[in-house]
Amino acid sequence: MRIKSRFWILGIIFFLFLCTFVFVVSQLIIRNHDKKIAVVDVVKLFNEYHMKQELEKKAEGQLRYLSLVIDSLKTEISVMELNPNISETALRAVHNQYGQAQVAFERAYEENSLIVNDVVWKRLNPLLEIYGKQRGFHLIIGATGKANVLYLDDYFDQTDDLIKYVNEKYDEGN
Amino acid sequence: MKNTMKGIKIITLVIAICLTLLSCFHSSLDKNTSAGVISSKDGLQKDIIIDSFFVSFQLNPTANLLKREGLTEEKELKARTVQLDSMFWFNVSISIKGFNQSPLRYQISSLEQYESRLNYYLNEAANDFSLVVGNSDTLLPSVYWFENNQNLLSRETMIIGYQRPKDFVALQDLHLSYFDRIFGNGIIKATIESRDLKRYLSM
Repeated sequence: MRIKSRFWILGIIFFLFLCTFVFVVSQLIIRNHDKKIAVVDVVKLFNEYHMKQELEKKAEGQLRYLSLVIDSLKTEISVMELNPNISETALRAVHNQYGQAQVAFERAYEENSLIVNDVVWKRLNPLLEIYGKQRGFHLIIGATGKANVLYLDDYFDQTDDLIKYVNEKYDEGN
Repeated sequence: MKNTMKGIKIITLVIAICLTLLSCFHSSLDKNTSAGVISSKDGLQKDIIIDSFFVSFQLNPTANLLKREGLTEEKELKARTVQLDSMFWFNVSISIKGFNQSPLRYQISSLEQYESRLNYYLNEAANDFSLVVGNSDTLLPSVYWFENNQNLLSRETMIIGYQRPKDFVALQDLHLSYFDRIFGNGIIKATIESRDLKRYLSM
């Protein structure tokens, strides 16, 4: 009797071990085969990144100043054109200044855009890597709305979650 | 019967070993060192890692500053404490992983570029710092000093002092931000939380 009950107990223990083993192995197999993919709206991510918004605000000051210079030169030109006593040389000089101010504005705008673009992606790329690893993604695809990803539904869309993640990291200090 | 028992024991042992080995092989996340914040135990130092750049923001308690000054006379000590308590003092240092020289020399191609960087840190960097107290007041630096280490260290340190608002209470977080114009890292932020500030004010 004692031997029989011992046999049963060991049998049950063995059975439980076997079940656990099979369960763990099957979970590992499922996890490895469950290729997690995410799609992110890159344009939305870029535009809603707090650092990008703050950098643009910084650049706004300089661009606003240049646009005010352009406006005041424009006003001066229109006033001078109505005045017959103004010489052509003086008028041409102001026209030149106006042209130079416009060129300076366009250059400043382009430079700021490039700088903002480079700096934002420099900060976003490492965060994307960490995000992907933490969430267990094997692939994150960036959708620009022009090519590659033409449609996606909510299942793969991680845009909002990623935006929240990168902004939290930025605001808390990264 | 005996053989069956033996068999069960062996199989059980094998499964137990397999389970142990499997649990050892589970992949743990790499501790990514290309981005993140490391906070010191007292919460007054925040180290921000951006790519290979290491930016450290340290809020200096008055007690630490007084220790360094080594004042012994009580009158002088009291007066100096009042002076230092009226400000927030930060040390902000920049170093670059894998580059054992001053960051001023990092990827420069000419003496003019070096001098331009040095000039920026000596005279202009203060304009790129701001401190937000709680969610309202934005403070600009009252005091700025660039510790020129003459290229003897692999980091550069800026000391920034902000006038503490008269109505400041330790229930507010401090948000320090720095716009890294030179190395193109954008705006770098660090937050000193109110619970750590309370400790700082009592030091």
